[in-house]
Amino acid sequence: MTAIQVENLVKIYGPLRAVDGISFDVANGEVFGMLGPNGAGKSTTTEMIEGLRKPDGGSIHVLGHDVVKNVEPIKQRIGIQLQTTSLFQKLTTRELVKLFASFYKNTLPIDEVIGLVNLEEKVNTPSKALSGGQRQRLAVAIALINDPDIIFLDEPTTGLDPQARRSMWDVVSNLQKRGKTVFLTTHYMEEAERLCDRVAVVDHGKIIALGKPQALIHDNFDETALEFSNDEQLPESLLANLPGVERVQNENGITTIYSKGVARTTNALMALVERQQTELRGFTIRAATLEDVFLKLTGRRIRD
Amino acid sequence: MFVQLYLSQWREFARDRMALFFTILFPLIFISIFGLLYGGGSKFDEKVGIVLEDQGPIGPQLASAIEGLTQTPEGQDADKNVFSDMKFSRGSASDLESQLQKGDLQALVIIPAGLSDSITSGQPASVTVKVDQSSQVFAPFFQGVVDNIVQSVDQGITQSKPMLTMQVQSVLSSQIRGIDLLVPGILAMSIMQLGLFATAQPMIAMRTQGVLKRFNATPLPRWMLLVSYVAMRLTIGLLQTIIIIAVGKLMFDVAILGSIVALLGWLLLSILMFIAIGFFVAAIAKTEESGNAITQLINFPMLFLSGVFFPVTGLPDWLQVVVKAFPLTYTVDALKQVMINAPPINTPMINLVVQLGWLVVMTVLSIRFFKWEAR
Repeated sequence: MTAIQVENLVKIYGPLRAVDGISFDVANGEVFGMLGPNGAGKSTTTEMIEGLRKPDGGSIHVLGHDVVKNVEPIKQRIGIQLQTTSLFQKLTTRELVKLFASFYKNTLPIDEVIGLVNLEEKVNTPSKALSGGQRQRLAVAIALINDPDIIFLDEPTTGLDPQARRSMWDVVSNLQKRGKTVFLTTHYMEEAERLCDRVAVVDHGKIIALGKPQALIHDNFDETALEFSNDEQLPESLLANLPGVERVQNENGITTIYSKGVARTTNALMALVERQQTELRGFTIRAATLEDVFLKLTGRRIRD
Repeated sequence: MFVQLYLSQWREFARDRMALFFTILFPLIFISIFGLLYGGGSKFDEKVGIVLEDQGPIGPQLASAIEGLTQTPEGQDADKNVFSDMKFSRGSASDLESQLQKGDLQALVIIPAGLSDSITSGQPASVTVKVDQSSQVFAPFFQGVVDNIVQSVDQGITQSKPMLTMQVQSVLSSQIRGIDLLVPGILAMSIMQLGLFATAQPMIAMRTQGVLKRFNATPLPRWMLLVSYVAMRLTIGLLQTIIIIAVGKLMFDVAILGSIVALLGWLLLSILMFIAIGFFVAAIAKTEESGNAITQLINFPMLFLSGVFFPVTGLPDWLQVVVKAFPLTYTVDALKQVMINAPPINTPMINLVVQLGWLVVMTVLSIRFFKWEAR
């Protein structure tokens, strides 16, 4: 059975088609990610699925219910973490979870939910005094209080430091182990690659690629990326003619060479650098990532 | 659901020291200061001059009615006549006016020549009251009383009924001191600020910060959220006013001459009215900043032009129009009437209808314009 079915979803703000004909299905128990830059339409799509915004076109079914017609029946069965959630500032973690618990028919025990997001030590701390990461985890705890079938996480790690981000990833992995369906949006490649069973890459309100992260990478690349800072000393025309090179991309002073023969390309590149009497700064060789997929499909990087 | 929402809002409020200070402590400090300043003297002992230049029948009637303030009607305790220690003297305009300038008199009533003739021929005429503004408690009160006497004489002429007494008696039944005059005003002020600061501001904040949006994502019905929000403010409002009255009563023996039930009724009505006004502000303000601006724009003029600190009867005509438009005017008037039998500006029916009207109109407009989400 499918948890979420979205067909040809459209949302228009004035002249802007914020969501422009998006379609996808999310299976039960799947962790599904929407990956894209800010303004790609991720949050708008998420909020339409959650029933918080009315679409201008298309259909949405969540757990078999038509959300556009009536959102009330699914509210008991979904859990939502909004991109920014600020709650009553002076209430403690436990009091806030308890407050939201009172809105639902079936709830998990308060302490269990707090345990799921590892906030046991902060139960009596006012939400105002929580760190950014703790506040995000509290928002997730609140999203979990009704033991939902589907959990929506809208950019759960944006603005968090690396440690807090890892801590949030653990929470999501635990949800996956419990068999929950998770729908998350992010503009972090690593997050999407690590957490999601399937990823929809979105840009300008459209899905430009959809599939398992590794499959997306392999479908687009059998190349390796060579990357370095470039200040016009090495013109693109020369780089493109090096042996093994498939494509060259210049973005914000960083040149990425996609090569099918790392050894040949690297040697030739070094020789070229010698001839031009310049230096290679920040030179790295790495496997292709979702970032490269995005770059290939749009010509831009996700985070600019 | 309701209980948890209500409790949560209580906690949020009770843990906010600023909010506590402004809603509970601030009015109390206010009362205490004024209580200590004005609480001492129990009667007016001011000296008042009367210049009677009118040769006709009406002028002398007015003069003796005003002088009659010192007389206590049959069956009433003379100790409770707040005007019984006042001194009246008659004389020429130039003489008495110089006495007023020197501070020997605190007020002067001038009944101009030709007053009777004007009135009998259907022309408007006016009595001038000059007061020493340094006597802040006496001046406004005396103005109000003379205004009432003039009105009742006027009514007596036009309706050809026996005149004077009833309006004058209404202020005779107790010792009215500065603090007694101020408490109804402070109550009204607190209620208004509850509506503006404690209703509008948090609601706008909840919207701009996305709290309302988060609640909308739950099965919580919207009406439940609003009902708990209003219930919480109503509780604060009642608590606040009861504390003010109780402290006023215990510390300064503030007068409550009308019935407690009627007083509570008026308080309840005004609190609901100002909560509705607060909701309207929350409905039209898009940001917390614009909410702040609108709140202050409502707060200040009303605070000074609705009779909270000084009576509105003395204001010029064009300002009277503004005064009549302010809902707080009716709150202050109603509370003053029920607490200290102050000379009424409006009948109780008008106070009731106008405040109910504001309540209904503001509620309807709030529902019409309220936005759940910031754009």
